[in-house]
Order: sequence, then structure tokens, then C-alpha cells
Amino acid sequence: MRWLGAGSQLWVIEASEYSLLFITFLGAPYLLQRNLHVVMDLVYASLAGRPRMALQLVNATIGFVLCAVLAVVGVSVVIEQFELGVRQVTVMRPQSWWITAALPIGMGLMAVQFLDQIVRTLRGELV
Amino acid sequence: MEWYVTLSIILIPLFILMLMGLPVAFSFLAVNLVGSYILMGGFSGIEQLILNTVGSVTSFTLIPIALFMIMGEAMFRSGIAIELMDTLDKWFGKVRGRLALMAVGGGVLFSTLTGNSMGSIALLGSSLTPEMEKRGYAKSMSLGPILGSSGLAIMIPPSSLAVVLGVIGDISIGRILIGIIVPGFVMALLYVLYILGRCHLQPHLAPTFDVPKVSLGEKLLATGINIVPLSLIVFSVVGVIFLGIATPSEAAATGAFATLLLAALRRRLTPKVFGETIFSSANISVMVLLIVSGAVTFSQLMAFTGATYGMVDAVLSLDISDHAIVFMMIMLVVFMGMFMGPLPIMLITLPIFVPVVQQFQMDLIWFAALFLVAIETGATSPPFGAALFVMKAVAPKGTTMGDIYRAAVPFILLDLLAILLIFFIPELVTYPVDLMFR
Repeated sequence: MRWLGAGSQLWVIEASEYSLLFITFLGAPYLLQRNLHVVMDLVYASLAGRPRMALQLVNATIGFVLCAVLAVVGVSVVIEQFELGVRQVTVMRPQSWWITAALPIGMGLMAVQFLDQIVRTLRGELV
Repeated sequence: MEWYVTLSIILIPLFILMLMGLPVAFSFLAVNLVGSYILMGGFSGIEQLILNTVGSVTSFTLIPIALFMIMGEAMFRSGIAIELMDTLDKWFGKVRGRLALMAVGGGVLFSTLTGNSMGSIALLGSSLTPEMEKRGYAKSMSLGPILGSSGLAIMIPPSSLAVVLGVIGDISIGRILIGIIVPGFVMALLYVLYILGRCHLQPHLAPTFDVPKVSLGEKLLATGINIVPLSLIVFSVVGVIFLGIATPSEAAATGAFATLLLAALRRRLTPKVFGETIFSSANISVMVLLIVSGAVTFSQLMAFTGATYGMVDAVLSLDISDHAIVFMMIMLVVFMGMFMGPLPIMLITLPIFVPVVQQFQMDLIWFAALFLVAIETGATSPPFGAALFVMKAVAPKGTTMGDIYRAAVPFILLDLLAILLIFFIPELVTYPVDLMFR
């Protein structure tokens, strides 16, 4: 485009950056649901029965606490940015809060996913 | 705090979490969260972590990852890849080791369209191994070449791992993409020489068989339809970067567009194929990007705590030559590859290695090329190289993990030979890069 003389479209670059962010944090919960995240299952896959369930419970709990904390702190960052009216220092100068919001939304959804995993593990299902 | 104390506080939990089977992305996040709380001043540290994480994915340099994925997926799903193999099949006459050589040829062709070696293994494995089996090829001559040459996908652009490497190591992505081309072809050449040599010495490994004659006209026609348009795609990725017309992100966009256009012109881009292509490439991209976001903030944390600086300092004061240290790093990457996937290795080692190489004032592009060959070697190394398991999944019934391990060994040695060649002849990497920015 630039080369064809159309000029560098700065908003295109910025828009694609933001979409990359939203794709990542909104896509991640879906991948979690389908168990598609990269896992090193060296130890995990060699276990069976109770040890495996125990490990699964520990992992899901860590994941839940992690995502929940990030979601809560994320929301507070978003609220702070909203109240202060912070803008990105870029050409489009969007309000920062709706960009940062991608993270707490994604983390919140993943916290719910992990909670579901905890419940299912306690019921004795393999996730 | 001494740097090694900080480093072990950060690294040991990371390894434990990963080994426990917590997804890699979340392991990084967990360590980042606890790390920034303790080391960066409590609650405000976590706020900073959130801003850093968001900032790390909001990056134009990461765009090629998503677009390169689209290229690869489009090629495999639209059937362009299968047509490529058919054309290649027409050109190879009655040569000893024919099918093994075809694996290398296919590996090279695929690598110009995809940056992900798992797809290549799956396709080459499922299309060639049944034929190899039927023709009485020994396992070492059937599985080995496929394992070796699929790895070329990450060496010849488009290569998503090269982009990740550039982003984390803060190295010019355009230059890496150009720099790794020649090493990729060197590896292919080594494979070909090995196959020809071994088949000459032990003909029973790869029995020859009669091939139906194909007329020259038919060969040319197939080439014209299936291979010539490919050069257009290659140009739209490599050419535009090399000539300095486009940035890697722009080149990835033209490449993805050209691939989709080619599939559309062949009337292969049905709405279903298009949907699947976009959906599955989005899946893989999200997977990669989430890990990258965790890792970028991870390396910021390491730098903030001074762990990186302390370690670089310690390595620099070691009483051995700079080259020996770099060589040890590369071998460490190969070794880690026996147990871990390419992404986690890159994300853990690069934030530590790149500052050291920078301090030595060595060529970062040269290091990047060595690093990628090492990653590819590791991915095919027993016992847990990821490529080996994909191979197992597509290999004919009755193939044991042992067969695959044994078949992989000669090609791992060839890869190590390639590492030595690049190590002692840096011009293999630097010459094309110098040509590019004159």
C-alpha cells in the first residue's frame, strides 16, 4: 500500500494492533474451554487415577486464583483510567480504558472456566 | 539480592508449574503475578503487570504470526499442498531413494508456504509413508527424511518462530527472515547428500521401482500450474522484504493474500475451506500470542530485578572465549529441545541469551539463525521432541517410538553438522543480509 503510493495509513497499523490484543484475550477463554493451550504433559500424562485428579485440582485452582486476581486488579486499572480519562499516546488517541478492558474481560471468563474445571474435578470427571 | 537468588526464585517455580501440567501461558502469568507483587512493590506492581501485558500484545511486529498461520492453513486445507507433491512426483524419475528425496523436496516447497513444521510432518507423513512402506523402504529411510525436512518449515520464510524470536530478542525480523534462508537450504542439501550416499552404500534400504513414464509436456504443464504460481507467493513474502519494499508485517499480509488468491483462482477456496482456515489459524495464533504476552512481561520482570544484568555480568567474567559461550548456549537449546516445545524454550532462554550475545558484539542475526537450527534440532530429538509425536500419529500402524527415534538420529547429526557449518562460516547468514541493506 505504502509502496503503491497510497501513503502510510497509520490508523490501519493501530487498528490491527488493538484487534490483535482483543483476539488474544477473547480467544484465550475459548481455547481453555477446548483444552487447546500448550501444555507440557510430560509428568501429567504419565499419571492416572487419584494423583492425576489431585494435580488437575491443583492446576485448576492455581488457574482460577490467577485469573481472578488479574481480572479484579484489571477492573480497578480500567476504572482508574476511565475516571482520569487517560488516552493512548498514539495517532488515534483512543481512551485507554477500553483497550485495557480486554485483559479483565478475558481473565474473568477464564476464571469462570477454571472454576468449572474445579467443580468437574471434584465430581470426579477428567477435564 | 544476588542475581542467582532472584533468578532461582523466578525460574524454579516456572519449571515446576510447567511440569505440573499447568498450560505454559498460565505458568508464565502466575510467575509474573507473584514476581511483580514481591519484586515490584505490591499492588502497584500488579497494576504495572497488567499494563505491560496489554502493551506486549498490542504490537505491530506480532502481526505476521497470525498472517503466516493463515498462509500455512490455507495451503494445507485447500489441497495446494497435495498438488505440489503430485507435481514433484512427476519430476522424479527412477532414482535410488526417490521417495526419501521427494520428502526433502516437499519439505522445502512446503516451507515456502508455511512457518509451522507440524503441518508439514502431518502431510508428508500421511502422503509418503504408506507408499514408502509398500515399496519396501526401511524405516530409517522413510521416517527420517520426513522428520528432517519438515523442520525446514521454520528455516525458510514465512517462519512464525523467527517472528517470535525477533520480537522477544528485539532483533530486526526482516533481517532474520532473510538471514535464515541460506542455512535452510544448506540443511536441505546435507539431507540430500546423506540420502544419496546412504542409498548408494546400502541399496536394500530403499529399493528402486519402476515409475510410469511422464512426458516432458505433462511435467511442464504441471509445473506451470502448480509450482510457478508459488514463486509469486515466495516473492510476495521474501522478495518484498529483501528489496526493502515492505516491512515483515506488510510482507506477511501480501503473502497471506497471495495464498488465499491462489486457492481462490484454483476454485478451492470454498466458504467452508475459508472458514476453517481462518478459524484454525486464529486458534493457533491466540495460543502463541498468549504465551508471548506472558513471556515478554516475564523478560521485563527479569530485567527489572537486575537478574538479567547480574547473569550477563557473570557470564562475561567467565574465563573462556566468547565463541565457546555462544556455542554452549546453542547446545543448551538443543538439549532443552529434547524435553520441551520450541516456544517455551525460546521464551525462557532468549531474554537471557540475547543480552549476552549483544555484549560480545556478535552478529545477532547470525545468532538467531543458529538458534533456530538448534530449536529445529531439539524438536526432532528423543525422547520428547514434539515432531516425533506428530510423526507417530501419522506413521503407518505398527511403527514404534523406537523406530522413530532411530530414524531421527542421523538427521539430528546432520542438523548438528549444519550448526557447526553456520558457526564457523557466519557468511552463510550475513552475506545475504548485507546484500539486502546496501
